Amino acid sequence: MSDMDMAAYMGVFLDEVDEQLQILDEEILNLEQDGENVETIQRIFRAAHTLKGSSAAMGFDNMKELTHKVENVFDLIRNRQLAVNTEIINVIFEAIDYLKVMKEAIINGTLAETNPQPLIDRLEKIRSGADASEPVNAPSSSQKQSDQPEAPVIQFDVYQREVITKVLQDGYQVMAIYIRLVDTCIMKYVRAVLIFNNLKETGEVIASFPSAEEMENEDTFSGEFIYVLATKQTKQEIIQIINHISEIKTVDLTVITSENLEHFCEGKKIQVVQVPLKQEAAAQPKAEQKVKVNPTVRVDVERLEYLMNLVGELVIDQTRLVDVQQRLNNRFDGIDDMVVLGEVSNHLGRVIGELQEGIMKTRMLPIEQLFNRFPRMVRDLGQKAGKDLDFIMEGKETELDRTLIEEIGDPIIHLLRNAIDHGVETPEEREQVGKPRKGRVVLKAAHEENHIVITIEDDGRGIDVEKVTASAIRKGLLTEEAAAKMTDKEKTFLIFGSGVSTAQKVSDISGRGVGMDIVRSNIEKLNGIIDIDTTVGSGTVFSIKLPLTLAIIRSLLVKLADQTFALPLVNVLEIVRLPLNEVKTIKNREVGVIRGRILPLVRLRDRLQIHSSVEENKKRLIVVVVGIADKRVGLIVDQTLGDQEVVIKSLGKYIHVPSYIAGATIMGDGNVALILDVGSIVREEGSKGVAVQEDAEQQVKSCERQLVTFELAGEEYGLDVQCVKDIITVPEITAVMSPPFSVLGIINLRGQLIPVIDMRERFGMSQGEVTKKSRIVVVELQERLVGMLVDRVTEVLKIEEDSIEPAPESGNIQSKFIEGISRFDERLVILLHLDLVLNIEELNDIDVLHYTS
Amino acid sequence: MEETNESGQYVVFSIAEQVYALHIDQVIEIIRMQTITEIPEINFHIAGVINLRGKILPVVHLRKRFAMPIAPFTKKTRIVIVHFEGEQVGLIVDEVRMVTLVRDENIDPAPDMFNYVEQECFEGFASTENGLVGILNLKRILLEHISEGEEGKE
Repeated sequence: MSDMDMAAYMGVFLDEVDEQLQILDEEILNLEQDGENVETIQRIFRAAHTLKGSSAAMGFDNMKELTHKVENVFDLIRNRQLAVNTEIINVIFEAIDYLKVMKEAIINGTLAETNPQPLIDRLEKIRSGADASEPVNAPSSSQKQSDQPEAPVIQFDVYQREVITKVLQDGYQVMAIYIRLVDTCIMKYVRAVLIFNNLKETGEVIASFPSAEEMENEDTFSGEFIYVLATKQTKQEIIQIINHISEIKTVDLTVITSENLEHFCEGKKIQVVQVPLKQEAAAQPKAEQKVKVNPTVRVDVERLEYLMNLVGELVIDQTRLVDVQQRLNNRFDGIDDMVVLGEVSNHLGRVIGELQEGIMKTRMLPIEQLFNRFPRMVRDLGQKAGKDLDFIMEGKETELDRTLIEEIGDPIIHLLRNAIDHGVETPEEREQVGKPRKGRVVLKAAHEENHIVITIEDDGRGIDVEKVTASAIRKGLLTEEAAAKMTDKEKTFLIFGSGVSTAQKVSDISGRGVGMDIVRSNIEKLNGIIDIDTTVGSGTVFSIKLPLTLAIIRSLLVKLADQTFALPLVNVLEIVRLPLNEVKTIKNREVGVIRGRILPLVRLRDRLQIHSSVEENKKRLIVVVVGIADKRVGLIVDQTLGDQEVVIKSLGKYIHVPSYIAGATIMGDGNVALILDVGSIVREEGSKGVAVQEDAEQQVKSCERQLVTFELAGEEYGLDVQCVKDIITVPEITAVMSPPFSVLGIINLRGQLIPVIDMRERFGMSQGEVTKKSRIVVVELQERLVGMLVDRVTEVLKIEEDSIEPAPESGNIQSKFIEGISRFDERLVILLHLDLVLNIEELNDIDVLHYTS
Repeated sequence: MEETNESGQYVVFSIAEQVYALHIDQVIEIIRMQTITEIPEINFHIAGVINLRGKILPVVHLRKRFAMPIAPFTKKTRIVIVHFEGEQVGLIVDEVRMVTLVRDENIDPAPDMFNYVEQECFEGFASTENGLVGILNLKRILLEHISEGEEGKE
């Protein structure tokens, strides 16, 4: 083949190598699980054979040689001359890995430097070992054989040996045919004779073990015997002939060659792979069927990108066409051709829409492509770590963008390693704590609205938060005081800090100094969110939430001066209107109190240096709360425009990488909008540390309190803003049976059922009407939500701590409810002791049954 | 190339009444002014990006690059799209005048009297029937980010 031809076929060849190696990887794993599956063995054989053929055709001789040896080993397995065991599987896997190395070498032009000889030798040894019966006593296969009666021993005498040598020279094949009859079979000898007669038609029976006399004795004959046959027919033909006889349990053929004849003369027990004949008979026609694969075409990503751009152009032209059409319509109203133009324009629009969707979908691939790499890896890791594992994968068909598939591989590999190495215990350990010896690792992918969620779950020992914390403190990443303030969840997240590890010893698998911090940064790079859920003793679940695609994202469009920006919607948590007076400056940074949490605020206009002559003087700021991983920041924008799917385009390398900008997109009107890199903004703010936030919280607390104030019967009451979760208009209230004192009923708040209390009744005031101004203040108390019906919510108010006076004796409500009274200007605000006002025990009495009814 | 060694076609344009040229091989197309989207925190002379039939291209404001006074865009303002290191980049010019043939022998190096910025930015000067035309060194213009204060460096 000339060099030109080579180049033309190289791509096809390499793709095929990839495909066949993938099949080998998968099927060999199956083989390890089920060493007797004929179909699996056939597929492996075919794959190895294809590889051999194509590498030979391309002239890669050493590759051909290696695949040839692999094929030989499978030939033996296929013909039941070799039992599958871990040792063999390992060597075969090594061979496959080496084929991958060789493939890379072909690409890099360094094939001459590879040397598969050691592997070829080992494969050869397996093959000769099978023929010569060097015991291949795998734990798995020996177990299967142990319940089987001793096979008869072949031992040729001098005469037989000479005969065999001679027929071999004459070009005959010599086979030792091992047959075992069904145990319950009567007249075993007769069957043996029938088989003998059938075999005689195909060649010469040179010997039988035991001898014919021994077989005649029905009492001692076990139904197990070997005929040594000299024939010119193939093994398959011989097996077919034998299959004509019923009640045969097992058949096994071993080829005797001049090389292994000596062993037979010394006496050899045939290594038998037990396969029930029935299964073989059933499986054979199936194995000949071709595996059905959906026809696919490999497409260059660049070509797809190009098509996508063309569609983009079409979309823009379409909008312009509609525009022109409308203008013409005004001028030439009533002309027939205008109707045609309208029809064409409409149809074009529809086609373009579908075209766009179709091309976008083409970029999506099932995650299977990635997942298929893992079983092999998990097996190897498990073996190295001495763990017994069940590896389960779910949701392989889940589709996501191909660039994402490429990027998410590493974090998953790392988490799987982590699960196998640190999560799952050794079989002994598991037995001790009463778990099954086999550990379970589950990898799952699923769509969830606009995201994909990938979870890696193990049923191992879980993460010991105290150990993690101790490690972090030792490494100086954290002070003990800071640790004391942290929740368990926060402590668990410490494992993402660099160098923090719970591994007692550095292992071959994951002690390579690559920490979980890499996982975290990888996921942050993809705009993803990672979460850990762990229980000591029963396991850990890592879940990764990612946008479906990196190329097309759902985004929130916001306006800053006259420019439009897109914020990835995955990162947007909520949009809040924040009154100006709730913006505080702490340590030269603006912070805002949003739902009781102090958030650093970023004025995007300033940050992005957008200058505008129009200074808007609004009373309230629009704050978009964004988050990445566990960090939250409030971004101040001028206006929110709604959400839209946008196609991310790079700005090109000429502009370098501007800060805070992730890329650009083309809007419907053809204008370019910039996509904000929320990650870089959040990271910048977040890096200033939790400490700042804590300080801020303390400062706010020490000098002033923030209250939500409301009116009841003309008096103003106040509650700490931290307790208030929500303020809603009064929805339909469902009454409950025999409610506790002053409980009106329950309402449905975003799927959660919460009780509502009539505050007037609770305070013993006269009943009031529910008016337009009435509100339900939803408060959280002892982790439960409770609604309080009030006349009117007045405002959110800040008061100085020292303006609070003790409660006077008399008043509208009982003084035990009152924490104090704040006086400013002409107003009096009564601060309430929420836990006394709401008797939570009483509320807990509301039967859950009533809730659900 | 069709041209002989001795001559080449040049796109001639003007900025602030001064005449410049680029070799036609470097130019992809010339388009009318587009809506430019500004990008924060990038080089001063990059005006922003435009959408050219689905492609997003950076646009360099040549007046800013040459530290000339900024004038409002007119009907004659054009964006010259050029090839640059595998990318396409737009250059904002006041007016595209013509495409002309220049003989290599008519191109002279930049005279010493020019200041640093000018010397760096020109490949040479060509005398044509329309007078002296500065042939721009695209690489210098686009890559070397020289501000006025850095004159004379290197």
